Amino acid sequence: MNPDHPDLTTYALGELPPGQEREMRAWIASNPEAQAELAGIEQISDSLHHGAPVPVEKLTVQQRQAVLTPPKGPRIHTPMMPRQPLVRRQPGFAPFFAGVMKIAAVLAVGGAAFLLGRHSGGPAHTDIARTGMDAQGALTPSARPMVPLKSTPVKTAPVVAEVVPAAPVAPAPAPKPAAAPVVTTPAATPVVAKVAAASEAPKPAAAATPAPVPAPSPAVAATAGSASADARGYTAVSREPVARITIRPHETRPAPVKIKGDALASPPAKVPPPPPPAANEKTRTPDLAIQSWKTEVATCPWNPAHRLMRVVLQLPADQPASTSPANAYGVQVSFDKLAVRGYRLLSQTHVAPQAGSSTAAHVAWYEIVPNGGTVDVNREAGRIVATITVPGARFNSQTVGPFDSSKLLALDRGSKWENAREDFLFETSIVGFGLLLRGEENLGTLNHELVLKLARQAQGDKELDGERGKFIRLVQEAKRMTGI
Amino acid sequence: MSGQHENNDASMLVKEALDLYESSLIAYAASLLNGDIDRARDVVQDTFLKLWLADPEKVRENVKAWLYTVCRNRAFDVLRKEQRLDLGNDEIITEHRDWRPDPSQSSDTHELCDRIWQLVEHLSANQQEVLRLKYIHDCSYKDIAAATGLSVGNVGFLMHVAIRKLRDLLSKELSEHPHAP
Repeated sequence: MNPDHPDLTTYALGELPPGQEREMRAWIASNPEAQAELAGIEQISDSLHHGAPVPVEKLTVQQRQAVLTPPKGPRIHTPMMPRQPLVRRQPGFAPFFAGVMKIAAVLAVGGAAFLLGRHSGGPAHTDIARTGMDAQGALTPSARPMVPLKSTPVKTAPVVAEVVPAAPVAPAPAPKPAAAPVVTTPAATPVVAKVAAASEAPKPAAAATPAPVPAPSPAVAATAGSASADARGYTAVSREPVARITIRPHETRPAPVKIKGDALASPPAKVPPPPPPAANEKTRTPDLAIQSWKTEVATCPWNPAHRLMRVVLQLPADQPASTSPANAYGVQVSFDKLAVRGYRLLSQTHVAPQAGSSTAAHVAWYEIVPNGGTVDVNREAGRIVATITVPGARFNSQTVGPFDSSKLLALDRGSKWENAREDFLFETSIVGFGLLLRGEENLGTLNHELVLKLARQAQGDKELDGERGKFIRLVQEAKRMTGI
Repeated sequence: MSGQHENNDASMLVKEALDLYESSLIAYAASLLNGDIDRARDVVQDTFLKLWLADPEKVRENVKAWLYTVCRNRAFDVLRKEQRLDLGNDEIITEHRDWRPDPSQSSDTHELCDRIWQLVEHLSANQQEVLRLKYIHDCSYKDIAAATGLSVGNVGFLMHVAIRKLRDLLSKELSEHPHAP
């Protein structure tokens, strides 16, 4: 395929069907020319996205009132899609034949229903027959005396209050997903205790033991009110609408290459540290350079009522802001009160540049409790769930120079995680694994099986020896160790 | 009874559609009507009034594409009445535009995003339309195809050519006016 093929643009814009997308991905991976072309298309596409003017004009008050008032006169149901392709009339006797077949089908179904009604002796039929009709045509009650209903006690499985203790597996230190390309930021909670906790939650019921009471749906609990959402580890938007995370660009710098061996014949000269600034000298923190940023929102795999939001900021690894570890920049994520009831930060991580690239990334994951249930998938315009700003940042694209991008809107278009791109899925699996290791509460249906499912779906037909394959083996090992 | 039920459905549909697409449709109509916002408002008002007359059950499935289609046709009706419509004659459209960047706009401190959207003005009418529908109105290829009457493949091709042309224009402009660091 030629790198100038329109399908490459279609792929870059996420419009290619899944089957073709897989083929295209494989082709791009093996074709450096196509990779360069794709990068160029994405740069332009990102710029168009960032610079797209936001429509703000509204109808006048009178016009709006006229629109919202139903027009008088008979309603005419016409699809009014003049550009829809016209349906060609079928030649010959096909319409006649189709009509005959329809009549025959209606007669057959009607006849069958009539015969069934005559010969069935079900209670509904009997009751209807006994129900008389008075002179006015109103239904009269049956002469049969009404028997009051008794509430029969339903045999239910006894509720087990205590938690089944975890299998006496030695709590081996939790494996860190070191081989994975993205490393979730570990929480301060000790991991060892959490492995046992994770093993308790999704333990399947044994055949002989009474059925354990399932945990209440976190979606219901979390959306019951802002207070309960808050109590379960979510921050209520009504109380704190702005979430803040910190970027330390110094951490995105790749680690210095370690030289094997004891000594070099000509060791590199040590660069002296920069002199400390004088007491009265004002040091100015350099601006944070950002190459591009984007957000993605999809359903949460472990809680379909919730949404997952990924915020990705791409920044050059080698920039003035990354020279000092003291440089820190805040990212403000302002959630829309109308669209979001609560949120929690699941993970944030720095991703060092890959070999041959100078672009690092900072990725943050939020779980969002929507305000007012799930989003209607048909509404592709989406709704704004959050606005992201980075004070003290300047935007500088690699190829075309600086651009103005003061804020980024996170739109929820009702996308499902099953339709998300594979990198989103794979990172979701890593975030989920991190949540399991940390033993976070309110995890819904999250368990090792779901993490594996996500990772395998993201892996596709990639080689098992790759990073994703290694991660899958790691999760399998963790699952085995926890005894689930 | 049924009429009342339909009226309620239609009322809800119109209200929801108005909340979601009012501004986007005005912007879209204005882009077709050479930036005439007042006329665009009239077109959008007509569009929503037509929505009242449509069958809510049929339209609800893809109300976005329906609205953009009707809005587009109504805008073209307005242009036809004023005899300002010249569909498909890209050369004439191009001739009437100045290809050279405005000197006041091409200073070194010019922002990329403004520049790129100014360059969009230099594309042909149908390329502009698919780009605007994609990036401003967030339409999928399928929606764009439904609204414009093109096939999805045609939409993809137009988008590809438009982006390639933008890259060329941007490179040309940068080579003529290199950005000072």
